[in-house]
Amino acid sequence: MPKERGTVDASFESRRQFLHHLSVLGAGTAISSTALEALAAGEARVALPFDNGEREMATFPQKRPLILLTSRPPQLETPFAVFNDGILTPNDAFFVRYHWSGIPTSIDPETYRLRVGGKVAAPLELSLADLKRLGDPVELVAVNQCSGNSRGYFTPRANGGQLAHGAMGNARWTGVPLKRVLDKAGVQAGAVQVTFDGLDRPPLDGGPDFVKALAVEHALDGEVMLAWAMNGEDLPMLNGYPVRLIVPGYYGTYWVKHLSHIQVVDSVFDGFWMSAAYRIPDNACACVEPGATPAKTTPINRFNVRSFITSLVDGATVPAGRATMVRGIAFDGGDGITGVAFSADGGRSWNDARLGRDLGKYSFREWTAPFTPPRKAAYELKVRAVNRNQQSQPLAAVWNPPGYMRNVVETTHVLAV
Amino acid sequence: MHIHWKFARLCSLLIAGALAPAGAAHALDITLPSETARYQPSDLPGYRLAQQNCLTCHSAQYAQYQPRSSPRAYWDATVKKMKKPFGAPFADDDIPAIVDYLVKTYGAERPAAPAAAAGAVTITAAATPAATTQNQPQSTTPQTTAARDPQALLNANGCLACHAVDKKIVGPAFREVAAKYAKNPDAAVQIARSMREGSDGKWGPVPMPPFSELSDADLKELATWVLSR
Repeated sequence: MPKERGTVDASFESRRQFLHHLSVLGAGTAISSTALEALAAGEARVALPFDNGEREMATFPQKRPLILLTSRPPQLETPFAVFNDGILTPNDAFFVRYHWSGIPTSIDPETYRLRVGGKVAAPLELSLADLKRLGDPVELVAVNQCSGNSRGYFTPRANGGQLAHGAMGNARWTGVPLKRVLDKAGVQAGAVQVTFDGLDRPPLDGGPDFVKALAVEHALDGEVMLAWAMNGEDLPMLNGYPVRLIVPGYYGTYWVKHLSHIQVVDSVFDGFWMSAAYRIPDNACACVEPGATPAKTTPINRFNVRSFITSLVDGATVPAGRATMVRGIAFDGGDGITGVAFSADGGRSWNDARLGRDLGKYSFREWTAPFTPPRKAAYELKVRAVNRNQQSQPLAAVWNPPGYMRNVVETTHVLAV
Repeated sequence: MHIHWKFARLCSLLIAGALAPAGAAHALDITLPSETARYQPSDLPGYRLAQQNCLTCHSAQYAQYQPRSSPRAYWDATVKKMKKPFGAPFADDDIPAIVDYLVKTYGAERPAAPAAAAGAVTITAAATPAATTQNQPQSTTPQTTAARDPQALLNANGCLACHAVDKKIVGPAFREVAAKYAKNPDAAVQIARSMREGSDGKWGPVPMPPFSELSDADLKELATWVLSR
């Protein structure tokens, strides 16, 4: 089946943006015939580039039309074209991921309370106003990425949410350091982990509530945040209103939404979502031979290095003999991106791309690279980032059973005409 | 000292009140869109079980969008995971039929068919419940108990997974239903139809699956029971 990263829907607003993309990218950008037919027919559907990848576009509250993975609970993927619009992902385009269908649909900020308890000197019950009065707010630009982002590309396929590359986003978060809250409560000696629970619940009694845990040292590192705003506005409900946990550089599973209860505990928390789910092979590549079962697993943690071309979709055309400025994004788990290499010949030769403005080590980093195809032919474009710790991306995909942490060097096929 | 503290708090309250913008701090309410995905109709007995159990907790895309290469072992492990530890209240005896339906509809044991057919069944809001019902299998497992006791019917059909008498679970409380239809002379017929054909849009975004195998007598018994809550 044709590989197309582009996504199309037929709402007026998105069509306008889509046409805007066309004009921005120039007449050389190819749009697949399937996508054009969908646009013409007014069908709000897209085809993600893997088997059984046909999806509806759906409009949820406070959101533009997004790729619908599941309705209940809501799971929404960002159309990839959004990542070419800017380095910050707009709130109404930011992906949505829940585990249980018992999600809050009405929250009064006046009566909302965050409880802090367990091994602390003084248990707290904080209102949103209390949180905002804890001192000057802090801001941090950070990527949130789902553990299973890009799972649909796994070969052999891995079960779970079949996502393309849109379960990630980059936002400016505003809130208070978790350390400030924990210091107010007074973490006691013997504390081992801190657990985080939100207002979302299993729909029936008996299912394991979604609770996550961080080591107490991590929770007190001064970077983990409680955020009430993203990109300068209140969090959308589906992104965790009124307060969510921000764990910079860590996969989204830890970024608990509608945060309602923080508990300091004196042992390693053994709830289902830490001890059985979201675990990766406990080795350097977080990988095993395809089909194999890991001998030992550990909770998923920091992002690996990733990079993407955002300005050209797979199957695009570019003018031969003329320079096209190729653009994209790179990010990692917080060491910071130090370089991006661009290849126009399938990885045989590489040139340094130029890095854009640095919004912080947890942010998407823009890069640009000129590409002048010498003749009319097909080209394989690749991009590969490296971080301050000399970590990079594998040229061949690695595999693990849950389909987490894909970070292979991606390939974009283009035709010079 | 004590008085000072109180005075200080009063001052801060007054200041906070003066600074609060008018109309601030309303609750944020959202209304979720209606579900459009449905389990693919099938003559397999697990179809009815999937509708009546899986849909209690999640929409149909969870199965629909899995890789079509997914083998029986995957579906078996997943259905068992839904029961333990996730707490789905279906009987162990129902697991093989649910797994069989899922692997033959969405997984590796699909009959050779046009690729698009089994993967993505989505009906729009315009599609009538009756159209869905026509594809329903005839009853393969008699659900009718001889006594037609309402409690036995509720248990046998899994009604209590989604409904309780006095509180909303996934679907409305039976008392809410009774109140809504209290002055409706056609109430028993309409409720019976919602049970048999399913219902969508009356009580929020979560659709009620059709219970097409219920006999007229059972439907009447259940509708009467609900209306008397």
